[in-house]
Amino acid sequence: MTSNPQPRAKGQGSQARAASPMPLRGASYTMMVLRLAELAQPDFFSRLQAKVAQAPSFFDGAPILLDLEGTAGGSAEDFRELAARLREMRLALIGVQGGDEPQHEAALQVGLAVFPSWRASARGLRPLEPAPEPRPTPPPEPEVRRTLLIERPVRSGTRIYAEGSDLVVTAPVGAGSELLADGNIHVYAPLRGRALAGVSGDSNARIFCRQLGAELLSIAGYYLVSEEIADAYLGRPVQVRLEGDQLQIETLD
Amino acid sequence: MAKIIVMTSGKGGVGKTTSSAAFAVGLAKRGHRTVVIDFDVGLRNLDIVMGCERRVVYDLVNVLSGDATLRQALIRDKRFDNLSILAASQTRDKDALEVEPIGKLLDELRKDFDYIICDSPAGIEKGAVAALYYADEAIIVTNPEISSVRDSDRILGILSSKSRRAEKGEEPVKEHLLVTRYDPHRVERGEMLSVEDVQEILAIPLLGVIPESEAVLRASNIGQPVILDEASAPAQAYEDAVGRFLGETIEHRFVKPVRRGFFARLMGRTA
Repeated sequence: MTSNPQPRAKGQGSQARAASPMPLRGASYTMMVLRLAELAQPDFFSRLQAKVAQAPSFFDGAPILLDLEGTAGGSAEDFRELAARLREMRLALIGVQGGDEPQHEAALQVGLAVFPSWRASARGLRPLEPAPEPRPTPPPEPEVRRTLLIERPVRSGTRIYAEGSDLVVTAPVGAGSELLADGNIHVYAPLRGRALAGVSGDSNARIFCRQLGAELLSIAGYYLVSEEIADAYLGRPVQVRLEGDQLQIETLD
Repeated sequence: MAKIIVMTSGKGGVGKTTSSAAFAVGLAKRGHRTVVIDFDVGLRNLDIVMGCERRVVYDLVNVLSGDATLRQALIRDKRFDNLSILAASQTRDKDALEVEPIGKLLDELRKDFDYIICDSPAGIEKGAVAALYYADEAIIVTNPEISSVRDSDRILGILSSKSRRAEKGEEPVKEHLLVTRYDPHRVERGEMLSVEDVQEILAIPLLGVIPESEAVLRASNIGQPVILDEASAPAQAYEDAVGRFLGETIEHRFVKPVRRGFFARLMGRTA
């Protein structure tokens, strides 16, 4: 019923993906972030030491990201020294985020990674607190997050990212918008925008929708543009999954 | 409590200014104290459509920067004394618009007017956001054509994220769909989206359908808002739309192609 006046070609997959896939996948991890702005306080290291002592096995070898927001300056030597001090507490400083170019350069020089400050999570960052530890704790379980539920129309230009979970949308998804999820995507309404499932590398993720009109479908990095979707599936309720390196579409009725 | 209405679209040239003028007159005709503000700084044309372009002394930017008072800048419409116009600046640009001074301006206007119509410029940048920021209600002007619908969808997204109500978590801006330049014959031939198509994509309540008509250009040429050309189809459609806006139930006209009778075709008469 809706007009989507783009030419449509039959067949699936693109020529470029006929070559064997690159074995480099995305992954997402939660890790602790240390804010450099707070380090300015003189008793910082003793407070950190006290915190680590509360749950030593949780913190042992834990990767730490240094947030440079709101600070300036810092030489390679500074970063090296900070990493050493953290190492004394068995904390592994692995990278930085935020801050400016000179800081990034200095960090890189001592082997720290520069993380993008992109906060795409629909729910923002949450502070990580370990449980206080009288008893020996097992390694922390990966957090299971509730499915992100969107009930209002997703307007053109909007991007929604369900980090670490599935995404369910019960209202129309407009052309020019983007849905991203680490898990599955379900759209119980017309899907006219882009849908990218399994963005962190989960090739078992699937996309479901009630009326297919998507501009682009992707699972774990493999994608189909609208033109490559066979006419038979347009406007129909479908599920999309990844088989090998090809996206397969099946109708749901 | 005065209501602030933004007339917006995303896409340019779809009929925001024409509709702002029509609504302003429509509301004033019904006895409401109305002011219409042109937010298209640098490309002003509300004053032309309202027919007061030769009486502009001070404009919106003058008032915002304190160079003039509201009283000095507001232009009283010659036809309705409960209707005023605040023109945009033609020499400045949209960077002159700042959220706080606009808020103060609107607070002052609220004392003397029932309805404040903000005629938005096209686009999604500073001018358009400034026009919609304080809105209580929004009329999304859309042509029945895919680019316009896409842009309207975009502006709806902006309304639900960048308006003051969105930022403060208050009740959302009330959205209305106004389809303009509608031609039922072209819809029938499959050349144009139907009202139902547009509604399906945008999913907001339909306020009105304004038919394509030469009367709009004539009105703009003589500086008389088209709603005052009472015999014309757009005038009647705008009257209906204003009525619906105020809560009346009015059936939509001008959405079905007109079947001209044999004699009408012979004489070249339109319905």
